[in-house]
Amino acid sequence: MHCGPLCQLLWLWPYLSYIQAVPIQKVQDDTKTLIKTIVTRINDISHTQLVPSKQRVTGLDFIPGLHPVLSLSKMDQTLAIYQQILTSLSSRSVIQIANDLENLRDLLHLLASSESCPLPRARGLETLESLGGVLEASLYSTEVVALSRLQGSLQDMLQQLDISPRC
Amino acid sequence: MISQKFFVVLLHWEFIYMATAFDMAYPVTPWKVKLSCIPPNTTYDFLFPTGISENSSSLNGHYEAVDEDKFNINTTYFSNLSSKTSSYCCFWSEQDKNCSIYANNTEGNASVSTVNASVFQQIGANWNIQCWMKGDLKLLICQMESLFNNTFKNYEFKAHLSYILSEDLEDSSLVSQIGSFQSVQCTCTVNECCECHIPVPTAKLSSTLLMHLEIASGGVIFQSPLISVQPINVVKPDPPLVLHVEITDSGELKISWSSPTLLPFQLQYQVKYSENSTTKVAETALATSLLVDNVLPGSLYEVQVRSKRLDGPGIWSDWSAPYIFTTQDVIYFPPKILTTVGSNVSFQCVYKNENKVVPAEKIVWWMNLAEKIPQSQYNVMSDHVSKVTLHNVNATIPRGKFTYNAVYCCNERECHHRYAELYVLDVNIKISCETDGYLSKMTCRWSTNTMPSLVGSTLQLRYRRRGLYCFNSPSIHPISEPKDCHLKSDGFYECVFQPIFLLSGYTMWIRINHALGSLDSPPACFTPESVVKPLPPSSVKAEITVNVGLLKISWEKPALPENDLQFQIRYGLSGKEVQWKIYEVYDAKSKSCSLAVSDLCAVYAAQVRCKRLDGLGYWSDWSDLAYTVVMDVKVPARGPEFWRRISEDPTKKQRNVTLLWKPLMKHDSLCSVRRYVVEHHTSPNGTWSEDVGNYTESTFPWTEQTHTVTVLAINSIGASSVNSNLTFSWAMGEVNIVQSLSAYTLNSSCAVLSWMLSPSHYNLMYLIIEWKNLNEDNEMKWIRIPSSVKKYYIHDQFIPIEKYEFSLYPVFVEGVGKPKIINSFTQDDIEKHENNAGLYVIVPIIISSSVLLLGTLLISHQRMKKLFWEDVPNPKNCSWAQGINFQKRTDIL
Repeated sequence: MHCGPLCQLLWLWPYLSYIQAVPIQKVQDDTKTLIKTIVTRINDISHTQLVPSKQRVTGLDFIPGLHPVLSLSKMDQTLAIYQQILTSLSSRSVIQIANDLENLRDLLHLLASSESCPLPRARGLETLESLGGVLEASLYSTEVVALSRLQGSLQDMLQQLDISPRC
Repeated sequence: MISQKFFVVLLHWEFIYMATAFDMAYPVTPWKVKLSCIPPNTTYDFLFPTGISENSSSLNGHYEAVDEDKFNINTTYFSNLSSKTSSYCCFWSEQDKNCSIYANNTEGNASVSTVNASVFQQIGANWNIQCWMKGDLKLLICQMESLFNNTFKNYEFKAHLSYILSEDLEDSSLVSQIGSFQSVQCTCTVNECCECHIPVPTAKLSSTLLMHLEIASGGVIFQSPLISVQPINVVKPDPPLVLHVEITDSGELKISWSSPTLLPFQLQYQVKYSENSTTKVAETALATSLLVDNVLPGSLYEVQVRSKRLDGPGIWSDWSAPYIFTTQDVIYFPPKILTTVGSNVSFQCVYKNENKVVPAEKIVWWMNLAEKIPQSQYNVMSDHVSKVTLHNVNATIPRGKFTYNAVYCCNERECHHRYAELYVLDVNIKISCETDGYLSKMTCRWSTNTMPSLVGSTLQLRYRRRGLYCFNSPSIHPISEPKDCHLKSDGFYECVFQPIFLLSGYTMWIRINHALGSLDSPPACFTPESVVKPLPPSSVKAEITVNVGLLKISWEKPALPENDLQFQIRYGLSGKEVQWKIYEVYDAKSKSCSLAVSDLCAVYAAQVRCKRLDGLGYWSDWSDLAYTVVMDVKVPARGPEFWRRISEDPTKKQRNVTLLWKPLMKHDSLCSVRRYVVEHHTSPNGTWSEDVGNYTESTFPWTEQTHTVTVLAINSIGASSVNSNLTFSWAMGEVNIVQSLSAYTLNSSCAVLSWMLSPSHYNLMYLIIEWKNLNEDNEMKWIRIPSSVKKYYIHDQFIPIEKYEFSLYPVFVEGVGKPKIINSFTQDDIEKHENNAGLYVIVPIIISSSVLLLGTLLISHQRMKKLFWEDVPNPKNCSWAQGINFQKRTDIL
């Protein structure tokens, strides 16, 4: 559908209205603080400490890997998948992290809006529902691997945010 | 239309098989029909008069087209179903009184004739037939009632009904279906009425029901033609239920009701209401309420409602049971208002007084029967409706059990006892939220203690979450969620959000639900991350730093929040009630602070708490108490002050010197003394040390001309850095610089010594005062005082009757000088001083008292004299009184 600049303006409008009220510096600070908070939360979940970083777990390829995430849209996409996975795990501490991820994604959209680049709302994995069996049979593995990788991704993002990532 | 077409088809079919002489079905869309039958043995030639259509052919296939509309509505039918039938019957209605009769001629052909139904009415048997579907959509009822001009009316009759429900009649012949007709026996009352019940499955409401009646009366069997009906088209709903009448807030009469059952179609309604015996009827489509204007006070309204299918055929239900509603002489609308402080509210009223409605301009309004509402707040809405508006209303102050303000509508000076109720609540409920230190739970609290409770009301916290942050001015969103809150013992409600969205804005408010309406408190918005109460800092330690001598407090910041934190430290001397001092640290990276304290050798208690550096959120709780441990922090500040006691050994002709000192206090020893060391120095022998341990005296022989000693205090850090010396010199013992020494006792616990010193070229370091009770064998006491002091107060027990010896020693760098010794207090001077002081005070008091006493005596004497002797004559000047004994009279009195 080609609706042109008007559509883009309408798409950005909710975020632009936020920016009017919230200084972008605060958004940036909150983004970094929230990332650190999530990293700390993952650290506090004791069993994630037990996974040796070099240990590979097979069969969980749907969890995003530790590739450097360079753009805001890619960050949003990655976080959307993590959010989807964590929500499906449904344990209290993990659900809290999933909520944090939603806030973090909103902040990324605000940052993108401040740079006038529309960031479409990323969707999670369409195939995740078909992986219900995998999740059910390997809840522990999924949680441990997902949290470990998420922690790494977040630390990457934290570094990227310091150097103003592209859209 | 479908059913009509169906019957056209059916008719075609029927005429093709005319040989069976089977009849057409009469559609009962007008649900009331009449059945007329000609009994047997009746001459009915008239049934086939000349000129009436007889051209229906049988087997030649000729068929005269039948007008479709006429067929369904106007055509009449007759019955000649079987050989047993001994009568002709036909249907007709009030709209079309022609009755068509089919008959077989001798050649076996069928013929049709049309006869006016009035003929049947005169000679035949006649019935009214009504069929309808019950409101529960399960039963079709057909009711037969003998008409008044029924020739068989006086006979007992029985009836049964045969029926078949068919969805598609085209696929099978009626003939074949006749055998599958089901039969029900009808319930008849004597000569009056029969009722036949046909169960209809819900799924077949739209099917066609074919039926015919067989009536036996007076030995004759009458059989009706076929009747066809679609049950869904003859539904007679049950009467509406829950009829209710009320006066709306705008002063209209609102009649409302509800439909009894769920029907597969929409209903229309008819409302019949009478106002003081004047009946009116109104209709509504779909709506289950009706508003009636101009409600009158002191009137009686009777209301009934009935319903019918809105679209398509149907039958009006019976009227509902009448509902009686009486209006009061004074009508307030609204009768009650629930509102919040500061809002504007309006009441309207209509007032009927002595059968006459009061004109609106004559109505006045009162509040609580105590205060007339100013006329400027009145409005005339119509001839009889007055309105009052109350601006910026204040909270209702409960008066006993009355939690409302009574608003009265009055006719000038006369008020009706009925009133409107105004409930004004102060709903300014303050909500506070706090996020825990793990940033996983937000607890919100609110209390209604400041708001008077409203009976029958419920409170509910509602909230709406916004993606990120709060608006500057939060507002109540129409879409919100309720939150469960629990009443705590402190009277606060507590609601927990867990898990939370740290940066989302939670706008929340309290909704007060009441039958009169709902009120919302002013909304408040919280972002969980901005109301964090962090966990207190951990690993808090307190110590006095060695050598530096500062109170150092260290801590670990909590893991969350990740925001920069400020810290507050409180510390104080440990004890029952710690006098706290506060120190604040605004450096987020700080993990410790060092504070100067007065006493390095005391136990200090310290606690730390933290809060976001930007000021958002709350202070954490104080950390656990941390205590310092008393230990040596520095070398002793100085060595002990010491003095000597000299004893001579005549046999050895030597003097033994015993050094005496007082144990160092903590603030000097910093903080303990492990041992004392005495350093000796003599000219020939040089310097040597003697470790005396923890003892506070040390004896050595004084053999040289000069002997200098120094006492050092040693702790775990080292030896005292500042120490005093004492030199014993034979030569200096003769140096006398103390010219005079006086001692006075001020009281039993204090004596004062004063002295005069003469100038000297020796270096005077300090003075030593010695004193002892000569009457007791106590140790002498001593004290060191600076050389500049001329007078000194000694605090000790001094008993006036005891003798004391005071000595003043000048101590030079070169050695101890000659002392001045006195053996008693200087009594004369003290007494003189005291006497002089007493003289100046007591003498003026004595003189003034004496003058006062003398004056009093003189005045008293004069008064007594005047009182007793004023009226008594003087016997010396009065002749008649001479010789009278006045002394005796006085005794009598």
